Amino acid sequence: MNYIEEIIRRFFRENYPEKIEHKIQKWLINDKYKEEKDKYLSEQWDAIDANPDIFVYESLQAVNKRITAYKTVQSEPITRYRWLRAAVILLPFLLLGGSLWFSQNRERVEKEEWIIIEIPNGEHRRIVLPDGTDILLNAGTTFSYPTTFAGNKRQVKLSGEAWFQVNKDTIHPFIVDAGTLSITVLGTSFNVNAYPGNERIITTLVEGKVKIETIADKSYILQPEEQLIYYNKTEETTLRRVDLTENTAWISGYLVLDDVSLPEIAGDLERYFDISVVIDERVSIDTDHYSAKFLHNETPQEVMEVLSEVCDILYRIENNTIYIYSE
Amino acid sequence: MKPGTVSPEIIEALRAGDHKAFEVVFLAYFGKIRIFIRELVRCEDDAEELSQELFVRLWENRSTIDPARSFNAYMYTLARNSAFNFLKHQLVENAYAENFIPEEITGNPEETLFAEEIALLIEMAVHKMPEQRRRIYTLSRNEGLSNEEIAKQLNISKKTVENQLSLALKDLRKLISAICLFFIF
Repeated sequence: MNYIEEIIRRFFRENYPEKIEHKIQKWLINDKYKEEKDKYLSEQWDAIDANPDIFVYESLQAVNKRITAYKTVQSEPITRYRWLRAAVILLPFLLLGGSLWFSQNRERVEKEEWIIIEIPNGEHRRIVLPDGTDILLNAGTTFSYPTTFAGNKRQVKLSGEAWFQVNKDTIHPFIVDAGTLSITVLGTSFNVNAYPGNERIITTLVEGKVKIETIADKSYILQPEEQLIYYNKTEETTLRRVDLTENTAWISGYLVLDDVSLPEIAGDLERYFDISVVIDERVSIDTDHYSAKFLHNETPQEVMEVLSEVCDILYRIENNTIYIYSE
Repeated sequence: MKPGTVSPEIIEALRAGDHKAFEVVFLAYFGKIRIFIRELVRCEDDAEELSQELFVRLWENRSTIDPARSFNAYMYTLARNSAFNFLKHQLVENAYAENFIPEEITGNPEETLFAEEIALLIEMAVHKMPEQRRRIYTLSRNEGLSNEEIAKQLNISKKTVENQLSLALKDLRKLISAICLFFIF
């Protein structure tokens, strides 16, 4: 047993709380046992096997820009000329080098036909796209996609909630346009909750890797079991680890309220039960958020019984409408 | 091309300022470098930034690449140095000092050989124990409570405390050899 090897091996394989990670980092950069540490670090280095993916091509683009910018500052005529030549060399290389990602970068101009699916409240629907991607659409969702995926990407539009099992295609990234966010993947499964009335968009990654870009051009990369919450108004984000069974429970037909405000609960109930919800204006809408899971096909009556206790509200149900009010 | 390998001809072309060769090297190494740095600095964004910087510098200093040395080893060294320098700055900035094990460990050298490593390894292993076992172990070893006190505090039987402690020590014993346990416990 070698302690140094063991610490490095575990550190590369597992996550630890920040406090422990800082201790390990400080231990690593300390010159004590430098050669041994180096030996086992380079073993970890050798074990990493990373094929270039879409993200690498994006990074290459960024680095090329930085190199070019650096060169222009020096702006001697000769340098410029050499750069022109470099650009000319670059183009055929990219075409030949298997990096189709760039070569088809121009948008197709011809009109594409789009199919728009609207899921009524109280229903779910499963669809399979032309590329084999499997999608489960939650109640009250509008989803649109082109009849054929032309060009270099597979773009779809979502307003509502959906679970995606994207068919792997490293050359044609799959992009979900969810209003203020766009989510890019190659092949993976994930859940997006982006109902128009809600204050935030929640992306949960099950497996693979996704890249999320906000309207303000910020981007985030999610690892499996991570969730990014994006607040539409403030453009703030929260990244957290989540329990996947909780976050995809709606797929099994459960009513899941996950850290939601009262108006958001109203929206969830309307979609789940296909019922109207009216909140009396005297009910104070504070910043409180609630979470609850209903696993036994509860009726609106039963759900409201629980919620009235938790949220401290009164209710009555008449004519397929839930009226929420306070004393 | 297999990630992490490039031919000597490509390295030679890179040294001569061939941008196409630079891109070949980039595609072969960028992913590996980003993952390696990310594992060390534990932050996706910082890893991306450091990796990009590394390649900008690689291009700027391309003429200084030594063709006689292993290029793979050279890239490893660049990646390690980049992460280590970043961590050094970060550690200074944040002044984590209070959380750390003292640098100077007193006592005779034989006794303290690998003491820091063992302490670190134990802390890592304790963190990976099942919840209850970890709590019992921490209360017992770090806070010095007796088995009765732990049983009372967690509202469990003294027998459970004893069993869990013995399992915890067994876990750690597997990790650290018996001789060292003598000094730690």
